[in-house]
Amino acid sequence: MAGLVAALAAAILLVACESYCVAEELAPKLRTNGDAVRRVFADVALNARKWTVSLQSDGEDVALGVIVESNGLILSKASELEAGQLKCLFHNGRTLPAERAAVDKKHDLVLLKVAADGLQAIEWDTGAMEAAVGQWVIVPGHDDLPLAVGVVSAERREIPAEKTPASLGVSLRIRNGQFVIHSVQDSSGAEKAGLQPGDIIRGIGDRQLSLEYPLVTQAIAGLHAGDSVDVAVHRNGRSLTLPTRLDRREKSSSRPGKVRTPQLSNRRTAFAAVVQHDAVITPKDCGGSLLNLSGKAFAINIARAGRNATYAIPADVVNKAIEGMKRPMVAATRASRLNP
Amino acid sequence: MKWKHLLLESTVLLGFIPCLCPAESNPSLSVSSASETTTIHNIEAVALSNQSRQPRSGVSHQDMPADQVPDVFRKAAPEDISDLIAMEQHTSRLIKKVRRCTVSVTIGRAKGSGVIISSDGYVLTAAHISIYPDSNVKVVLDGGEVVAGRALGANLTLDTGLVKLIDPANPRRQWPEARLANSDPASPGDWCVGVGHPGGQTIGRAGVIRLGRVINAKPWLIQTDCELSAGDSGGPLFDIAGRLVAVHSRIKAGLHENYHIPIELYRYDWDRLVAREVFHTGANLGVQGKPVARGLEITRVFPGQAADSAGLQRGDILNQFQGSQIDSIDDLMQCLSKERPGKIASLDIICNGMARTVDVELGLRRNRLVHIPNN
Repeated sequence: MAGLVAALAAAILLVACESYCVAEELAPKLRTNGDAVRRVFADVALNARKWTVSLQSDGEDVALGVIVESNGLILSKASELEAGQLKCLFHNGRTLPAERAAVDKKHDLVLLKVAADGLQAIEWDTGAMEAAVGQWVIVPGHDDLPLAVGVVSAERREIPAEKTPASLGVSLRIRNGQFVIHSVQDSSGAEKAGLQPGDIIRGIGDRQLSLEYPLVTQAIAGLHAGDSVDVAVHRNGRSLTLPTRLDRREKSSSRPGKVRTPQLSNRRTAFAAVVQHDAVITPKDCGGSLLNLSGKAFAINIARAGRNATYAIPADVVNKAIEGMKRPMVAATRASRLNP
Repeated sequence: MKWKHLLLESTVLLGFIPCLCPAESNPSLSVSSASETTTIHNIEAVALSNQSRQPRSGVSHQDMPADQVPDVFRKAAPEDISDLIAMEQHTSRLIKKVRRCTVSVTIGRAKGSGVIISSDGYVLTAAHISIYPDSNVKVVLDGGEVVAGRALGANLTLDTGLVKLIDPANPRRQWPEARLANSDPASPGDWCVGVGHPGGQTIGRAGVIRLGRVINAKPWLIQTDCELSAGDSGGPLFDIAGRLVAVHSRIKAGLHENYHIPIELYRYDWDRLVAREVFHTGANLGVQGKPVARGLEITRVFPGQAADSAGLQRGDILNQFQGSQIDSIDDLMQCLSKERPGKIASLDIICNGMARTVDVELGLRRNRLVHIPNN
């Protein structure tokens, strides 16, 4: 009898274990963003699917957006929608062309207009206190399951403008204690400035190069892509000073096996206020809403900034920006009514 | 004890965990009570008895009961919105505690994170951050205070590193320490909270919080889906009760490929880390053998260890290890001393007269590799 009970217990254990962890590894569907977990958030995101739109530029998906007013006013991420013919895809499959109506460069937001009415507008969680770190966040798309879930990772803060590291665009050799240009990069600021192979660099900006102060990178360390710097060279017995525009230094993954830089939003800095979370989205998923468990939006996703960092602008900041963008639009409408 | 441990026991590589260091070297790392079992210095004995069927050591810990943790975290997955609410309420309550002991660590140009694990100021970090003993360390505490530290030792194989905080003005200062988990291995599915300073410490940004789950747990490495990035190295991974279980080490391309070092490995090497040793510990195959004409004949395969898991058996003859000829145990030791746990090593063997190549995932080496010079 005891043996039977034991066998039964073992059988139950085996059956119970199967769906959880048969092997030593967690099944993908049970991961934080696995299907089984995201499914639980589906109901929360039900309404949000309807106010979410997908935006295309010249036929290519570039961003998500939200319907802010039922008469066809759409909000999205401005820097992804600067060029091309815009089309707006709604959750029910309908597509409409979209016109750019107003831009807020500071917050990287844009208002678009579509010729439609009776649309489901976004519901803001105005009652939300400051989003608490550790709280769930949900990124809705058009699918049954939300695009991603995660938690608030860091409190609201400013993201300062990041100046891009600079490059001079030349390669150097040291000959007889002097820095000789070996080659000049095509289309670089250095090439346009007239720097040539064979030139001996004496100084960069106000820094004189010598063997004690050899690094070109140090000389331009405080400068940024786009800055202009005087390069003092010696060529064929003559001293020249050539103002040179610095280029953007591209980070190259030259080490084999190094993890590829993840896909990041182009504009991912210079935000007055963002909340950071760890829900993983791609740059073209930015511009849509970020929900909390109330099912309402408490922020707009504005940038994929790192492997574990997505930035979202809080609702109060977004709404102020929308008001600011609408003012000239309202004024224009009034003016056109006065002067038909 | 969770039921799933029973089923996994036969495949869990980590069996007997040696207990913690003797009281005089560092009482604060230990979370065990006074009735601790004997400190193991005879490490050979540990390696030989490292079998999964050994009963767990009588290590008892002054652990806070995990009854504070809502049931949802023990489920396979949350089931409804009330589960989600319970989860976020609990997680939000942990934040202050898990950030308090998390620091950023800067040594020269290396930027990473660390976690304070004792009130007298020992900080766990990653070896690749703290690699040079006695280096000056700049540590920024939660809240922004900048303090000094000194790098101690490092295990380069396992990527464990140690730093000690210094406050010359207040040598008896009590530092905010993490609560440590016990020696139970992490289980796939365990929820966990990762904290760190990705991208380096940023003014106005406290330790960055990530919620995830354990995907895979090997004795030398835990894999989770808490996304890590550069700057997180050395930072803490907590279980959902807020106890420190591991230290961030590395990532691979996949967003679910985040790897952390179980704190048990710091406990094991504690004396050497405090003594500022920088060392390798190699990897484990788990065999004994005798030289024969064609190589090394395996005379014993330790149950549950690397060779056993790969299907090697007594009588197999090992010819080559990763392309190197093996004619003696010394040859094998030399090869193993250069590897690390988790490495998939290619072994050329002769089994029942037939030549085969077997891939073996090397395991954690507990006993000290004594380097025997080749004659």
